[in-house]
Amino acid sequence: MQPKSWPAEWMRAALGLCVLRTLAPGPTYGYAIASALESAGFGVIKGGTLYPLLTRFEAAGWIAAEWRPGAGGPGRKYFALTDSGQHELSDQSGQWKLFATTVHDHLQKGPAA
Amino acid sequence: MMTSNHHDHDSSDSGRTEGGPAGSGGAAASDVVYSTANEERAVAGSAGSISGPAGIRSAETERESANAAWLDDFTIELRLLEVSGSLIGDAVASAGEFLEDSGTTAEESFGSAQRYAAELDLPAVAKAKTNEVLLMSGIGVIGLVVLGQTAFPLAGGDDGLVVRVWLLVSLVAMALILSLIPRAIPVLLRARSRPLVLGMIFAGIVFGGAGPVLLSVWQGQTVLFTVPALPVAIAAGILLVVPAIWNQVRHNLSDDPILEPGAEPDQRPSLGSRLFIVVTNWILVFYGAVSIVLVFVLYPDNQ
Repeated sequence: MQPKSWPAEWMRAALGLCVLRTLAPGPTYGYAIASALESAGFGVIKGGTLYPLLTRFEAAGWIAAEWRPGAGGPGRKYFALTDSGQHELSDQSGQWKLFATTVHDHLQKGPAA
Repeated sequence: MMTSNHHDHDSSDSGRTEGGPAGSGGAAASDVVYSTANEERAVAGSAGSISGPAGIRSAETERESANAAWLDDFTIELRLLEVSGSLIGDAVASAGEFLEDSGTTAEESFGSAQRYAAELDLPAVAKAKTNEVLLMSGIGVIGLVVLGQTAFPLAGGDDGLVVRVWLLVSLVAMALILSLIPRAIPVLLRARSRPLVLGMIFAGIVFGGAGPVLLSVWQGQTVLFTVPALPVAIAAGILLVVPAIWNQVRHNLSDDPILEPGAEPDQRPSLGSRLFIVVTNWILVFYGAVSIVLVFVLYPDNQ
C-alpha cells in the first residue's frame, strides 16, 4: 500500500515539521528520532539528512541539545523542544493542515469551473 | 494530539514486523533495534556465511574501522572549514553515536565526509585564521633571510647589498610557496589516501622546482643588482618583528583542541604550553637577532 520511499521533494518539505513533532513528547536522541519517523511510515531517515536539520533548528533556537552520559558508552545527545520550538511546531502544524486540505480539495475537485 | 500520531500506529502495526522504538524510546528500546539491525545486516551482507558469529564479528570489525576512518576524514573536513574544536568534538560524537545506534556504515548514513561537513553548516570561528598565521610566519621567514643577507655587508662597512640570482630565486620561491600553501593544504589532506594524486603532486613539484634549482646552481652567483643595505636591513627587521607582535596580540597561535562533549576546556593553559607558544612565536626574531650579533662579532675586520 505504502510506497517504499516518498518523493524527495515531499520529504524535504515535510521532514522538518515532522522532526519537531517527534520531539514534542519529550527530549530524545538522533537515532530514536529516525526510528520514530521510520515507524511512522516516512521510510529510512539517514543521519546525513537528520543532523543538518537538527543543527539548523538548534541554531534557530527551536531545540536545545544536551549530552547525557551513557552506561560506559560515549553518551547520547538529547534534543528537546524549546518554547519557541513549541510555537513553531503549532504554527507550522496549523499551516500544514491548511495546505494539505487545499491540496486535497484541489485534487478531489479540480480547478473551479 | 495530531493526526500523524494516529497514522504512526497504523503504519507501524501493518508495515513493520520487527518493532522499532517509536518516539522517545529510552536506551533499552534502542538496544533492541541495534541488535535487530545488526542481524539484518549480517543476513543481507553475507548470504553464504551467516551462521557463525565469527562472520558477524569480522563484518562488525570491518564496519567499525571503516567508520573510524570516516570520522577521521570528517574531523579533517570540519577543521578545513575552520569550525571550532568544541563544535567539531560535538559533531563527531553525534555522528559516532548515530552509527553506534543504527549499526550502519558512515558512508550509508552520512554519505561523503566532505559533503556532510559542508551540509552541517557549522559556524566558522575565525575564517582564514590558519591562513593568517601561515602568511605571517612566511613573512617573518622572508624578513629573516633578507636580514641575514644584509648582515655581512653591514658588518663589513659596505653600504650595498649585492643581489645575486640565488637570493632572488629563493625569495620568489618562498613567496610562491607562501601563497600556494593555504590552497595546497586541503588538497594534500584529501589526497592522503590516494597515492596516485599524491604522486602527481610530487612529480609536479619536482619538475616545477627543477628549473629554479638548476638556475641557482649554474648561475647562482651572477650579480643582478645592488641595493643599499641599511634600508633593506631595516625593512627586513620590520618584516621579522611585526608578525611576532601580531601573533602575540591576536593570540593566533593559541591552539583550539577538539573537545569531547561535556569536556571542559582548560580555562588556563599550563605554564609549559603558554611558554611553548611564546617561544614558537618569537623564535625567528631570536634567531635573527643572534645571527646579526654573531656576524658582527665574528666578522674578520671587527675582531
